[in-house]
Amino acid sequence: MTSKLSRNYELLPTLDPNATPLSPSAYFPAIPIQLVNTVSDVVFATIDVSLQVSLVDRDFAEKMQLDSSLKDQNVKLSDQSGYMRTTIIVLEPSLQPWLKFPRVPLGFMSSARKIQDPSKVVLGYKSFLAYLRLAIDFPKRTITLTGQKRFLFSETPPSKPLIPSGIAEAEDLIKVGSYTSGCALLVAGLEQWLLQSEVTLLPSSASAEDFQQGIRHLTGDLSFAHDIDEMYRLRNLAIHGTQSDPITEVEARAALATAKRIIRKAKRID
Amino acid sequence: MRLFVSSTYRQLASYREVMRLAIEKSGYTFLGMEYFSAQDAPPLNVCLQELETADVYVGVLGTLYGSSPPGEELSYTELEYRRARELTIPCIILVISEEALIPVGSFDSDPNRNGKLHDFQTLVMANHTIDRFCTEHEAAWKVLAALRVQETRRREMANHGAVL
Repeated sequence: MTSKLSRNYELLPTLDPNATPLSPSAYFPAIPIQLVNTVSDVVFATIDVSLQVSLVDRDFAEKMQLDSSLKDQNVKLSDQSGYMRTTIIVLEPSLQPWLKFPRVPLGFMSSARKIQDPSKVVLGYKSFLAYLRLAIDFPKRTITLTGQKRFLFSETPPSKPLIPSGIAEAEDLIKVGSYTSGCALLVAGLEQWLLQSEVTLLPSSASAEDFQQGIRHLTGDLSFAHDIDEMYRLRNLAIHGTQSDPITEVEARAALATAKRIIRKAKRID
Repeated sequence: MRLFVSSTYRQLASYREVMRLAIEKSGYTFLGMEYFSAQDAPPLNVCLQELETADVYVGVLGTLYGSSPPGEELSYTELEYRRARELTIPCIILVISEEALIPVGSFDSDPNRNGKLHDFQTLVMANHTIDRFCTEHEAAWKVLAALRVQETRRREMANHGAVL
């Protein structure tokens, strides 16, 4: 029975063109992968455990527009400093999706490397191979990859979207009628999540205005702006307001819906 | 050595990719549609021009006959094969095994096209000793093994000629 976390791949053969008929063949490991923006294309990426960072052919990356953030900005990869990130899906030998690695950094291949290795993608140690266990069996000419459960690819989306713990706690407070505490905790939880998710590139010392601007920029939707302002108004009311100015259930639930909408939007961008 | 790899693309893209890696890593030059850029010439002309520069023709036959140029009855793959024969380019032919895992939808529903595929397979098997493959890796190592045999024969003939 095949383990869910292990797969065997055959090694690819290679010949020395100057070899005699009795010379041994060489084998190298290459596994099928898909890059997230090229769903229909299977790329066989070679594995190089001596490589620190994975590499991608620049022309290939530009052609495939692999870096989604570059696609919207119409930026050429030649203008970029030296690396990009994309999601890599490791396929089984039958070419079905198996493991998913988000935001893998890929450096651009030098000309010397391209001559040495004709692959469009070469998988290196950091941010990729480090998460796998590799076992090469030369007599059998196979390589066994063992992954981790957290990287298993799942086509079925979760029945409930995963929300940050701060917002989940705020939701619980709002459910039991603590609208004031709920709204305060809601925005605090949202800001904490945004800092940790690297989506808005805000420093930890960012002010409330910086966060509001960051969220507006992130969502880029003017019809959303009023809801964001309202959410922050309620947060300010919760912290600085008076007893005679209570937050209603409707207002608290609207703020909660706004926060969840921001999370969903941010996750689609990431 | 320049190898022209001829096959349908849709079904055999991953097989071609593995073959390309193995061929290029072995120091040979891979010639194939993957490297054709947009040009002001019909695709058939581009393919045949590229074929004329090849030392070896590698034909890979799957379960689909493949598309045909406008006005032609034969597929690109078959036209390339026939041209290779006209040019007396040595041919290495691989045919997909019946035991290979083929996704549903990888067979032509048109009986006319299935008939053409059958005729093409009959033609190549009459002219060559073919080999069969199930997986991408198997196709790759069998091409390299066939190349090794070709090169050995070539060296022997060259040595024999030198002696004479």
